[in-house]
Amino acid sequence: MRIYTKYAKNDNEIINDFNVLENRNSSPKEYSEALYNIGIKLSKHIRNYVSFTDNVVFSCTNEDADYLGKAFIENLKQKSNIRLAIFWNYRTQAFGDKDLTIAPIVKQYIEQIEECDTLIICKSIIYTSCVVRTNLTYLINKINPKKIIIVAPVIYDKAEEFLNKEFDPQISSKFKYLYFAKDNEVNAQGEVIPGIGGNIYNRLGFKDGEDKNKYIPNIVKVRREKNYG
Amino acid sequence: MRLTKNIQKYLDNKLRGGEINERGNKYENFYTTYKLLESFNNYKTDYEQIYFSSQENSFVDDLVITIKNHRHIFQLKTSKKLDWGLARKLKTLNFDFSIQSRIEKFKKNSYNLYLVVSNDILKNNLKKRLPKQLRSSTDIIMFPYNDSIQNQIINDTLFKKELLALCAIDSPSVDKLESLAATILGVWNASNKKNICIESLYKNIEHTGYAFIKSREKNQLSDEVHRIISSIPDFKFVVHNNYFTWQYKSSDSGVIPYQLGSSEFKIIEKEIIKINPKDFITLENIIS
Repeated sequence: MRIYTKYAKNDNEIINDFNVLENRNSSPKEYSEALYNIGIKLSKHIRNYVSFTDNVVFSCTNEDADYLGKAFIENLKQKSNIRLAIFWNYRTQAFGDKDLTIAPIVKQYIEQIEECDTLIICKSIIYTSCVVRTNLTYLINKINPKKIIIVAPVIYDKAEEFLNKEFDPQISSKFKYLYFAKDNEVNAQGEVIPGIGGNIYNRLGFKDGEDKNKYIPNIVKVRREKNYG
Repeated sequence: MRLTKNIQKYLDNKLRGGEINERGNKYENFYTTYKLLESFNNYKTDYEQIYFSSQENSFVDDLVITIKNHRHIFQLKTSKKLDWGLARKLKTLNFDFSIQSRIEKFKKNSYNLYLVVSNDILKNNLKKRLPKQLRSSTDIIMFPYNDSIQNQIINDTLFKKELLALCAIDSPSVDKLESLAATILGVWNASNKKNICIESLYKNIEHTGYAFIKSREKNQLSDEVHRIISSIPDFKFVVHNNYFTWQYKSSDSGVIPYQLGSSEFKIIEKEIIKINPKDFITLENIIS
């Protein structure tokens, strides 16, 4: 069963975009546009959590960067430039053990970060929270953010509980969550339903996790060229 | 449907039992991973002489490590309250340890027994009250309980230290250590856990991608690949413990998750030679 949050339940545009995600016949282009649109809406609501003067670091995975990431970077206007941290994770089961899901980082693009008041970490869907937990741990060790906002179009019913449990209360007390929908069902393939309409790698046109890790987001190419020449 | 008090109590106990079982399983898994790490690090030339077993159908049998014919036999407990009880009373620790000790002596085994608990106060209390007949053979060990591998790494400095010593990557982030620990546990779980030589476990881990374990093979990059990537501006790379890590300017960095010499790495090398990249943008597509 799905429950829409207060931000989404009366917004037909958001509901329509979720319908595009859930529709298995949507093309990768339609699918990615819907993600981008939802990203724009999330970036508007995040104003309730982020002050204009905050030094913000935005982080996501490479497959989300050109849609959710781009939406945030374009629409969340801050006094200082938002810094970007993009991770290429490989989500897998260690030696095929279904109880040992890991998501090691094989590549990262991280802009120069002097200070971080607010870290926004965004993922298309949060279920077991393995990827978010991995990247969050990396960033907490590296930049020690004062506030952490965990953002997703949709999360699994117990995702907040799973993620909070993985961190010391001193850290998890910094977490704030922003999402549009909460689902409480998982199918035999381990996908949250309706979620984001199945496996995002396939929906975006990638063969598998290794294939998606070959993808260099346009936002990374552009910003790397601009910032590092 | 309304449950009677008795049925509700039964259900509560059943659920609590499930949680306790899960906690016990995790504790055994992470302790076994720790002992495997320790054995891999401490007995580098003797892997053939070290065997791990679990659940030998005996009285103390959560984990049995045989090192050069000496048996180290472990019982693991996560309970907050424990006492030894009486040696003649069934289901007590004293009974289990005493009878196990007698069995080992009868078989003329060289052995030690260990009770592993998850807090220091309990460890000290059990040590103080260790029954006289067990004193020569038994020790009590503290191993902290954590509910995930990541937390075991972050909260348990000894666990992390062993992982760092075995990890192929210099100054690894937690995700690399977690991958290594999870792969070790995954390989152990995939075995039948009966008298498993750690040489075979290490070999399996070495041949698994994303394990980041120190390899016993030392392969070199081909001269041609070395020449091509060395001339790419602002690109730095290191081959260390058979893994290739790289950095581009101050913004990008990464690791190829397969060891040099593996079929996956050879494909990447062939691709580099074929495409002959002159800049990072071209190389990035190959090494990502």
